[in-house]
Amino acid sequence: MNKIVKNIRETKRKINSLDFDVHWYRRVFHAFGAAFLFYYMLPDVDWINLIKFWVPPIILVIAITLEALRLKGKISGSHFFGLRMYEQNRVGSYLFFAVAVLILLMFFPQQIAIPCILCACLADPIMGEIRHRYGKKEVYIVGFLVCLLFFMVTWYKADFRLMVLVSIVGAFGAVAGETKKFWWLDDDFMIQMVPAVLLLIIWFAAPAMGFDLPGEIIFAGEMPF
Amino acid sequence: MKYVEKRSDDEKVIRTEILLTPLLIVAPLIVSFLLFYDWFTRDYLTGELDLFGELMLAVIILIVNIIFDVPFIRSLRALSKKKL
Repeated sequence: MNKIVKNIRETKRKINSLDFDVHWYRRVFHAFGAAFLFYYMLPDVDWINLIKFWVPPIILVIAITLEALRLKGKISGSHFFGLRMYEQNRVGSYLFFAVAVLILLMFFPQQIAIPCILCACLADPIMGEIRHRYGKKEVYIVGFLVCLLFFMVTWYKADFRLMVLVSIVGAFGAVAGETKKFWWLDDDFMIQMVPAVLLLIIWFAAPAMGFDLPGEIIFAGEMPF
Repeated sequence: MKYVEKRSDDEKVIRTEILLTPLLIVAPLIVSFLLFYDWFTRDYLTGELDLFGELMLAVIILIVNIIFDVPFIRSLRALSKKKL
């Protein structure tokens, strides 16, 4: 028995001796967010729709509770790896990220939600890396082009003029949301919600402008049994 | 950018970031594979649906994740070697 306990302790010590590069950890954490698009692949079946409706808010409530306990000092901050100094006494950016993703998944059409989520998950770390290596001017240019690509890919089924309009407005909104910093509102929230709100206006105005709205980009999967 | 420093002397369990790492790396790759698989079976093979968008999303998610996963894993190895 003692030997087993000793082995477990030794394994734990070895695992915990792994050291993490915070910079790359945050980048990987961002890129992981793209996995949330799995939400749209779930089959359109009653019990799965129930899970789709309840599980994301429950996860968010758990995250809010953990964050509240961290800020009150009830949970050690060392469990929240990669927090920036300014997040020590403020709500962590991961929570802003999660709130925006939840709003997009539950209340926005996927043609708007998908590119906005991709902007936060993939364009944001790319822009961060460009800022880290080059300068602000390059951030705007590369960020705009990357976001433009995401909007074009998700709106490729739309009329060409509508696709161009949406891509330019969406990419502009995402870059503006990312670059405008507020202490109380994180850019992980803004980069998703600014283009989403702008696109929602276009979404409602497009039929009046004589454009047909594009179809879904990700189709619900089929039950394997 | 400055980050909150982590104390390593109060670890009673396996650290949260270590537990999360496999999920952070594997989950987007699985979603990318599923999107690709969906495009392959329902568009490329049968032509049942137009899933070119899914293919593009699969490629984008895969490429960007690999771009960030590789330096992260490299940094992990380097740091762990230094420590062990």
